[in-house]
Amino acid sequence: MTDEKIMDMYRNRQEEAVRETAMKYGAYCFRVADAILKNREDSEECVNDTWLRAWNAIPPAYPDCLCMFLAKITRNLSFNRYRRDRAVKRGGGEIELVLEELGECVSDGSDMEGQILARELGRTITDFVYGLSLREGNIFVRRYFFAERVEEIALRYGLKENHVSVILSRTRKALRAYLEKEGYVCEQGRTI
Amino acid sequence: MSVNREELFEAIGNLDEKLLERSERKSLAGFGGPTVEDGEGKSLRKKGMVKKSNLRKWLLLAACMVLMIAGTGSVIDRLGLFRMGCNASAGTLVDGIYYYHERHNGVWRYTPEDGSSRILSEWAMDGYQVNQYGIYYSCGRGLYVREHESGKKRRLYNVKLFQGNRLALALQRDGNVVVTVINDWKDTKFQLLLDGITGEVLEQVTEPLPLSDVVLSYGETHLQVGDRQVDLVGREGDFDCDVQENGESLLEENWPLVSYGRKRYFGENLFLEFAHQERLPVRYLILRPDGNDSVFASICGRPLTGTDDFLFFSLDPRVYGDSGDREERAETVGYTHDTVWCMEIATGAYWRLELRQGEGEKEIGKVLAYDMETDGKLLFSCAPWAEEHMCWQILYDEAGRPEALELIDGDIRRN
Repeated sequence: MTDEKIMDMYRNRQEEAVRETAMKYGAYCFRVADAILKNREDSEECVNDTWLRAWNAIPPAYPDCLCMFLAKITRNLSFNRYRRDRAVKRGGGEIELVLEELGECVSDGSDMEGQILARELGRTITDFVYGLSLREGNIFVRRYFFAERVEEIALRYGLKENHVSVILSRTRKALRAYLEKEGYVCEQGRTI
Repeated sequence: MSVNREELFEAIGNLDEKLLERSERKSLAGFGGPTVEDGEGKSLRKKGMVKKSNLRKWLLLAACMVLMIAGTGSVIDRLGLFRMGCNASAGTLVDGIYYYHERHNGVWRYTPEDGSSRILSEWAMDGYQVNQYGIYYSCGRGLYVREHESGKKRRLYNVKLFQGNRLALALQRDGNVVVTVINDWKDTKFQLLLDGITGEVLEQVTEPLPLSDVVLSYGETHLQVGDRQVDLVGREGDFDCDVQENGESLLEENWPLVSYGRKRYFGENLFLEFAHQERLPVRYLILRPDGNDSVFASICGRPLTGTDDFLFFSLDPRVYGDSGDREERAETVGYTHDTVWCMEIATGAYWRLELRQGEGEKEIGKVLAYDMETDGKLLFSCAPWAEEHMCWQILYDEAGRPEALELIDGDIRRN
């Protein structure tokens, strides 16, 4: 079923919308969750919760790309779950490496308040990624949004793993400089 | 202002969706393919010209490619070849026959005696629903039915070109069909009620509205319970509804409204979920054909399937609970969809069903119970991480309560 038809079902509040969404995007969202959580049960739960969030969000939201709209919800839920579970050391995996890499771009502390600033920072990063070349931007997204492994990214784009690592390192430096300019990072914070 | 790495990761979650979509596609530019900047492009420009006959040849080729791609796109879309779907939804049981969708492969029917056979190809349909009369399916502007008895397919209704370019269908319990006619060019929609046998338009139930308008669907607000006609009456700007029969509310004064879109039929009974529930148990208003309505509280959450007397779940209900840490409980009891639980509606009692190996079946193996469908005799289960549908027979004890499921087929597609 096409996304347009599924969206119609959401607009018309037909419960079949959730079933159709799950049928079409269940495996995809599961992969998004599992990349972060590396735990089937937790990932399934996040995927289940995604359908409820989507049902409650649409309408008023009318995403242009349903797949990515769902991916964002699943990612958000999965990361929250990861943070909650970290105390009991469940799951994890690639996400730890991803966070460590992102730590090169920012300082240790935070004085960021709330969801509004997170959205603003999201817009800032969007501008940053649009400013990258197509290749660099895509690799950045695969690594830091989807938490894909370097070898998976290399395979996806037909590059060598070392090449991907170099691109990521270069992009992180550029991101750090960008965040400093935008005032999100103090210049005397952690350096690479 | 300063941020830490977790906040940065979280903020990346707000990236523009176009960027995310873009990363799913490979692009030749930037990934080693020829670009204007590389030697191949420059050499062409340096020569300064392309011969006219070559140009005509390339233009013709480009035109053919456009036609091919346009055709391929519709083939790919029609066959759903790039759908990232999975078996997250069980099929439909009608008169002992299980109708289910196989990804990229159409609609199939299954019985334990006859096995599986395909009855509708992926190419032929956009969406489908099944009742006792037949399989109703939409394809472009047409609504069709494949009659169970004769196996013949016929067109019930066709949307006129000026009215719309596609339709969505919703079967009513009384056999009629609600069709939503959609016009993507004019960005409008309206609904018709059709006779499910003849396709005659019984009534236009909504006027044309903008596609983006959020309105309560006719099919979701005009419900049948046996011979009873029940209406969900929404408040403007809200999805909470009153439940009315013959103009009178069925809700008592101190009851909450019911949540639009959260209805399920189990057996002949209609379960309407009360609105704004954030904690367990999940409370329902049960409407029965004989008028013996009641309120029901499910400590096990939302059931996946059920009969007039029993409901079925796949999560260990002990995962839920009023106190204690849910994560700890999940550690103890497991948070998987590989068990099946049963609840008796009359008493609220619930228990786990024993899963037994069937005759001639190998060991049960991994149980898939993310979603289920039952008619009280057979129960079918499936899960998003697998293609199989499992078929079980429900075994009852002397008191008439389900006590076990015996595996008939671990993968109904095999037969």
